Amino acid sequence: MIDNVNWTATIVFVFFFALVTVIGFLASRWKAADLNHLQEWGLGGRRFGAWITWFLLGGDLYTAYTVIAIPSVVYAIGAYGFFAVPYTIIIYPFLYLTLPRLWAVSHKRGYLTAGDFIAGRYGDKGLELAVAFTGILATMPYIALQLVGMEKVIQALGFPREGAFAHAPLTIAFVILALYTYKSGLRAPAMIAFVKDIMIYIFVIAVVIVVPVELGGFGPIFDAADKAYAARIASNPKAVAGVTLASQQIGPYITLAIGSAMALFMYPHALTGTLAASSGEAIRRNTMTLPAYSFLLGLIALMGMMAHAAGVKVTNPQDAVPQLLLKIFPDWFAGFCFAAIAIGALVPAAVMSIGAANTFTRNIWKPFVNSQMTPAEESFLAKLVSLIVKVGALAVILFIPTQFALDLQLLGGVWMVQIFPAVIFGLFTRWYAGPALLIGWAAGMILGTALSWGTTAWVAVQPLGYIPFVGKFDLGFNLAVYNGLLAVIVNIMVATIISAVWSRQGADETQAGDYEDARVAA
Amino acid sequence: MKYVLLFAPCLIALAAPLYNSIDPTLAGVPFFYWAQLLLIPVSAICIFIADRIAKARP
Repeated sequence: MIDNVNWTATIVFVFFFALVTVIGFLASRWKAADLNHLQEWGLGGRRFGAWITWFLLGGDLYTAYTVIAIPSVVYAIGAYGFFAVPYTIIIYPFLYLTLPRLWAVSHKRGYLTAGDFIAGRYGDKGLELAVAFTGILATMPYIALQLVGMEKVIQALGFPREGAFAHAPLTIAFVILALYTYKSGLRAPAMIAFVKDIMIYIFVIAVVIVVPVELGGFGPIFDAADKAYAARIASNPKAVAGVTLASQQIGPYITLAIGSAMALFMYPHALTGTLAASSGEAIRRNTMTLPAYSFLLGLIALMGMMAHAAGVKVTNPQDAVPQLLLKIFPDWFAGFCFAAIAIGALVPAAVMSIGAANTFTRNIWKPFVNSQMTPAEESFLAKLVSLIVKVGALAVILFIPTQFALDLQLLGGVWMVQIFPAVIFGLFTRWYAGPALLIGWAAGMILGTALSWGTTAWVAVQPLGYIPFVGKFDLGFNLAVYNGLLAVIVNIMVATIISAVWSRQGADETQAGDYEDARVAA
Repeated sequence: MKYVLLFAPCLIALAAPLYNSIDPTLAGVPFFYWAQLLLIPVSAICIFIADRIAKARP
């Protein structure tokens, strides 16, 4: 059963895993405060400066699943997987203009979640619930996918893929994660992120230096990848793959980048990492420094092509990176890389469960079940929910086919972008009415889900060639658009039209000055 | 000027047909890849300059 285990790699892996476990528990004493207060447990007391925020958000956004999934798309179909690069380029100028405002108003009014802001800004419990529900719904499969990333590297260590004990290592890892998140709250992933991010940088830089040296430069790598895509198309004429984009991939490439960028900072875990910052200036500084991780992600994407050049042949593209690492590195360093990826799953999984727990406590339980909660009760409920969310994610992996989690993750992005109008427009104007945004949200959710409902599988993009007029424009490529973007455009139109005729406005507890932060050093 | 600096890199990043080619290659890397990778630090520097401008003229 464990005859195939690579013990050298496993020992290195377990060493680093044990190290971050100790850090996770010790983190409760870091910047010591009363963790029976939700702002302390769930937001680190908003005391993370520019450096800590950089490590935390970097560790939180560039997840283990990303490290496995992006190169797997590149391995399978090539250039299209690189959409992650324009996606992460366009996001930072946008964040620069919006997040300091959200941080300022949240700091001033004590908001912990997007739902808190919506409730204060629009005075509309229905919209608050919609925002909270969407966040939790989209986060659950995302946590499950972190487990997929972790499981891929555990399998690569040689542990069995089938049988009664196949999921045992994963379950143990996740129980440990659940315990220190329960104890230390956001401080645990913030502290572990330092270790994780440094490990990932070492691992990626090593790959980018070693692989081209061993394979004779980048030229042969792209040539080998080109041949692999040609072979794929030869065996399946319907397949689209290549070192550059095919004409029908251009529309999806662009719109997927835009839609994904709009969705990312609507996720509870992204906002949790942001609101934990100590100042608006710390956030601005991060919009200039976080692109370092985007560059890293671009290099990680290229590993999909390096795998072809190194002769890695796998049926599941998600095994491409682990197998590449085993092939090019000595066992001990492969173990180090696998530990980096697995720890890379722990940080986002922890922040996601904390973000979902904060959201459930503040925007579902407090307004609808018990409005008289004390801070200690809030903190206790959030800790409990963080455990439940993690058990749920583990159950998804243990009992439901992985494909289902992948499909839900795809839909999660389509759903998450539907709260964009309420949150982002709300930072700049109160022209939109709460109920109008709620109806727009519902329209976007239904349309986005319906568009994604393919006949055989869930689909991400929608060809528009059949629509009169739209299909007539010759843009040099077939127009196809990411469902999330299409749905949010309809969402915005509906919200705009209804707001124009809606006369009653809910209470707004915020003032114009709340959105401006004093520009002091981070 | 601040907004030009913030939006110009985004527009270039989204103009996929502009950079969707193999040539010119850089050290064996096709244009498609090195151009996008290069745009990442360029966009970060643009945000930095935009922020300097915003600080100078609040």
